[in-house]
Amino acid sequence: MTAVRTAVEHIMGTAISLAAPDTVDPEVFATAAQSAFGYLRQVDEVFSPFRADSPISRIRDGRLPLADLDGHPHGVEILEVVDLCAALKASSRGAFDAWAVGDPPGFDPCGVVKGWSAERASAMLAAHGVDRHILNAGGDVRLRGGGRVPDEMAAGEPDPVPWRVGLTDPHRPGSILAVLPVTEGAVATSGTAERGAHIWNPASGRPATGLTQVTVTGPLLTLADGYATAAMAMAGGSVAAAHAWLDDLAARSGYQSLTVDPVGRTWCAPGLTAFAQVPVASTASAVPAASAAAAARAGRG
Amino acid sequence: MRRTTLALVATSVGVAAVVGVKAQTAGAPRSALAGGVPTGDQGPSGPETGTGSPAPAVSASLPSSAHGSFTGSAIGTQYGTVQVRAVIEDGKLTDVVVLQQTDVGARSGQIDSFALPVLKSEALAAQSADIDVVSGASYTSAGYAQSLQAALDAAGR
Repeated sequence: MTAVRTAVEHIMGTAISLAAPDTVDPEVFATAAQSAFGYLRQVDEVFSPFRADSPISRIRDGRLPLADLDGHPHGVEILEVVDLCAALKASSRGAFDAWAVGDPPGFDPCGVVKGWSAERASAMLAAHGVDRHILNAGGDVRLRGGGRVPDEMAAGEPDPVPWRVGLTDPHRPGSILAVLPVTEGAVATSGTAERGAHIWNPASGRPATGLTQVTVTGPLLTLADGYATAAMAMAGGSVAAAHAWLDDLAARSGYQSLTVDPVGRTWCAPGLTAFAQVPVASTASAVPAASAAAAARAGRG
Repeated sequence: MRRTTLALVATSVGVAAVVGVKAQTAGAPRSALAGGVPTGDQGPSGPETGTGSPAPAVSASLPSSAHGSFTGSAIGTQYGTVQVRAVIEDGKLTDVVVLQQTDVGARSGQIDSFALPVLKSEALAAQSADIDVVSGASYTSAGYAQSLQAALDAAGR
């Protein structure tokens, strides 16, 4: 891979990593990064349920009715997130329900805010001149190829080189399950490997544990992140239903997906078959051993 | 609990790697490569960066000429203290030397002797997969320090 400039900041309780080719002017890179990170910090202040006086905390406990958001300094953004949550609730037939998170149930849009805001931060980076970059918001990734649209390209001009996105193996920390080549688009992963079961299943009133990890890839991080979270929530009720929903999602929207269950079995939508069956990080002979180790771990656990 | 964690701690001036395992006491330094031998310090030690507290903003760019071994700080895990040294050659992680790990308890020791070389080879395999970025379950700010993404950020790949 070509050398890149990188910057990392800790925001939203996670690390946000930015990478761009080192051919980008250092000052342009610094200014763009400052703008994107600054925006994400501001989003964190508005949407954090962990800050008692954030607008979201006040919405959750009733101090700030949605009807009062007209004229609120962040009203437009909050309503956009509320609309996104409503769309995902409908799309997932209630499996993802930002209004029924926690005990007692309350409004918590955490499952979508990171992807939504990173999508916007990535657009800011492009607007500041860093048009080829990777923005990784704690495992949810937005990638831009920096290529011109086909109509503007000179004859014979090569397409931008795809970025290579490694998907973590939740059962083998530090190792890669598959590699997706992505020039332009998003790869979002929700799972239990890092924070335990933290995605709420509104049907059972308990954290969703049917799948260990769901990865969704498609054009926009806002949607990819939301779909991944929704599938995790849905799997809390039925893994088969979650897979059927992801299959349908791929057919109607093009957003492809890959899941890993608690014993290490993988499933993927038709569009990812070619990638998921290639054990990129392992030699062929290591695969059975690794699978056996995962199975042994699951059996002993 | 048998979770074994490969941890790569990134700093702006060096790379320190930490492998978290079931650890109770310090063992003799040894390479995590099967058959590896203990090595002495061959380069600058990294700063004593703990993983327990969120790191400050890091802007790292490790030139491809980066070379040397970097010693991670001793990290207290729920199983005990562990410490490793990362060896970087031409900007690539080439070895992970275990400085502190458990050698107490037959069962625990057995798992360690199995887990460390396996983890190590997987970490290197991931690097050889030549990836630009890692998508995975959202890590915490502290967990990031142990992530493969942190290693990629530090290496400036």
